[in-house]
Amino acid sequence: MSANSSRQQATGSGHAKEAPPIQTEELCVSLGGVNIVEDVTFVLKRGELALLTGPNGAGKSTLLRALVGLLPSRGEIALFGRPNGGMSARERFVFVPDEPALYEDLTLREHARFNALVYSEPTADERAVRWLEEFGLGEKIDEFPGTHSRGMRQKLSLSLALALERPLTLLDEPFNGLDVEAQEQLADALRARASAGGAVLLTGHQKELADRLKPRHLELRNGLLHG
Amino acid sequence: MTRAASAEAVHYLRRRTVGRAADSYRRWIGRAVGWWTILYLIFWLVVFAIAGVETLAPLATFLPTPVGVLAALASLVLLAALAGGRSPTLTLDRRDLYRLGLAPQQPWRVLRWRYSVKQAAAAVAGLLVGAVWSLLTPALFGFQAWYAAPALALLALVLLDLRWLRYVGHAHHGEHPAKDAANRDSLVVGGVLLAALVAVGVFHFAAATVPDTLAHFQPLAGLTENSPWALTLPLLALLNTQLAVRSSLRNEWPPRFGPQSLVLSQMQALRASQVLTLMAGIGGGGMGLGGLSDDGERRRLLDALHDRPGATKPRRSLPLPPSHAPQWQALAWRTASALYRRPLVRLGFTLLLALLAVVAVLAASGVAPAIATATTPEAPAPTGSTAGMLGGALGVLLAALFLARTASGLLGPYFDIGVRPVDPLTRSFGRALPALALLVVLLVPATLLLTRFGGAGAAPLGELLPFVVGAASLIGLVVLALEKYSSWSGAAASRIEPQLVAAMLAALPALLLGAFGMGDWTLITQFLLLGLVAIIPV
Repeated sequence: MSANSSRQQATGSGHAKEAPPIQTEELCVSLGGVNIVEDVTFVLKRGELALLTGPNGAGKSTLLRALVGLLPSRGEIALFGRPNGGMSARERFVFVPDEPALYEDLTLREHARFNALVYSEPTADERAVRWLEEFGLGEKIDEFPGTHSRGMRQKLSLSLALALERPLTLLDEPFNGLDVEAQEQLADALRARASAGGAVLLTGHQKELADRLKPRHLELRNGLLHG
Repeated sequence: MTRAASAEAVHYLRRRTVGRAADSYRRWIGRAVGWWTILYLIFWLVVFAIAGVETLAPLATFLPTPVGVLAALASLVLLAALAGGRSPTLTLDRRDLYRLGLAPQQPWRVLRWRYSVKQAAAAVAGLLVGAVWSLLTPALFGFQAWYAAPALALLALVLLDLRWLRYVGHAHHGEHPAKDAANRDSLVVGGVLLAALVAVGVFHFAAATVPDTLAHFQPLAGLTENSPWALTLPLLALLNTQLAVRSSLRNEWPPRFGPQSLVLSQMQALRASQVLTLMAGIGGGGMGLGGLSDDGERRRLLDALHDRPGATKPRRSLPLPPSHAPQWQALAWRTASALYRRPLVRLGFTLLLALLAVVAVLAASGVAPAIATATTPEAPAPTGSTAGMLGGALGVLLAALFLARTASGLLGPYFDIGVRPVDPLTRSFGRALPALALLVVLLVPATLLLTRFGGAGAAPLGELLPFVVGAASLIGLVVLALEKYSSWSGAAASRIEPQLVAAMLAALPALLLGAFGMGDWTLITQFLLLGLVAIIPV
């Protein structure tokens, strides 16, 4: 993929150009007959960085998983004006789960290559390696992640996501397990992404997060969205 | 995005992960078993199979071809496949789900490798069954069926596809093109096959002759006809279902595929760990009663798989013990809760086994001879020991072993004291109390059962009481010994080793005192031993 097409992807095109990155209408998610998220209606615009907070069990992760199509839901979810489960929506977002989902039998460098291939973004390979170096994992790039600490695995997971220049980035508790320096690097990266026109939605608990990111604040309480 | 690049990503992953996994597996098998050993075993397996086939002599009178039975069986299998499909036939693990499932990859490309593995397994199973059929038919039915193996392999693949299509049909709620297409395709193919099978069955039972040209084109023709045309219908069905499966995974995943995949992956891991613990000799069936904690977890996962309320909160709960309750009560509540939360069918099975075990202990304790004496006065009086109708002390040992295996499923989850301020005696008492209470209560219906089947009338209670008390002491001995030995040794109660120890200890008075002709002392010795076991602080 050329730089042009990469830029086009980051900003969206056609129908997706006008539609907001996330638009939900009376979104409800229930698990085992229990309503976790109820009647959530919100819009996330381009260039917006939103922090979704709430107490433990408020439904933050559930809401994020429903948005990316990992959980069935009722109501409407549109990503760039398209159904969230479809290919055209998946082309436009990248999702970082709370617990890193990594292949124990791929090295860090192989993860970077694989990530670039999966998203058909050849330059993402180099960018992921650069991010790994930024996070201090340059010397461990040919190691398997299996023996790495939680924080190192999280850094790999984040490097792969940050390397992809997708117009929508969703991150579930991305600061968990990171050292202070990495937290600052991540905060800078997310702010830069939003400034470049991308939309970012992340979950977290920390108050200092809000101070550092200066995001739009959304709060989930008892399954209902405030803010 | 180009399609070629998409496919390259999945190939890149599979080349590395599958290649490395296969290499590790090869090295592990080589070290654990040895490849020469495996080759040696395969060689002899082939030799035995060939020898077995060569010894097959044709029957003097050939059996009638079981067309009707085959059609009925196949119809049932097909109906089960069409009626099922509430959970996916294959899944993605968590890594694939997040890294590939959410990426702009065509779902079929992501799932193709796993689907191919599943297809290979189904095809091999079909080929094996078909090959055995082909080898047996000349000797049993007097005809050749050399196309049975490929025909069954094709039908197995069709069944696999139909199950997936039914799943897609169920997974989408409301109107959805993928749902409609999957339902249409599965019902058309399934309907045609079912109609053909029913027609074959009807023709067969009506003793009507089917023209040869038509007989070659029925779904099970491969089993009864020796013609390549027998593969026509299975092949056409497979082409149809394969196209439908690919089409169902062209753009998006079925809505609940992600969460169901995660749950099924956990269940797979649970099963794998159970198999590994069994292989390592640290698990055990315990007559299907063992592993209470795993049982509860499996149940919760099954509820999560189908999005049922049991996934988030228990279906049944016992009242909580008061906050100032003693420790033993908390432990007893924990054990009783685990038992109470079992599915009703398993709970019923547990109770039935417990009742049978108590009946066996009662019988071994001498209740049956006592009943016999009461109803037939000329019969010799029992000795009043625990050496009863099951052959004296050996009967006691066998009954105690049966009881120990049953009780292993009634002790609840293992409780590791660790650094907790819990006395071992308290732990034993708390864990064993529900089992003891249940088994002692079951003495009443068990005695009634034995009375009913032991003679025409009920024996006087006064005469039965010593034997019932003897059985109660035996129950106490087995349960407490099992709990204490398994906790002390670290061996799960569901393993045969603690069960054997408990049974032998319980049967020791009957064995020794019987051997020295002091059977009358058995009951009192049992009680003394019970007291001793109860106060051992392990």
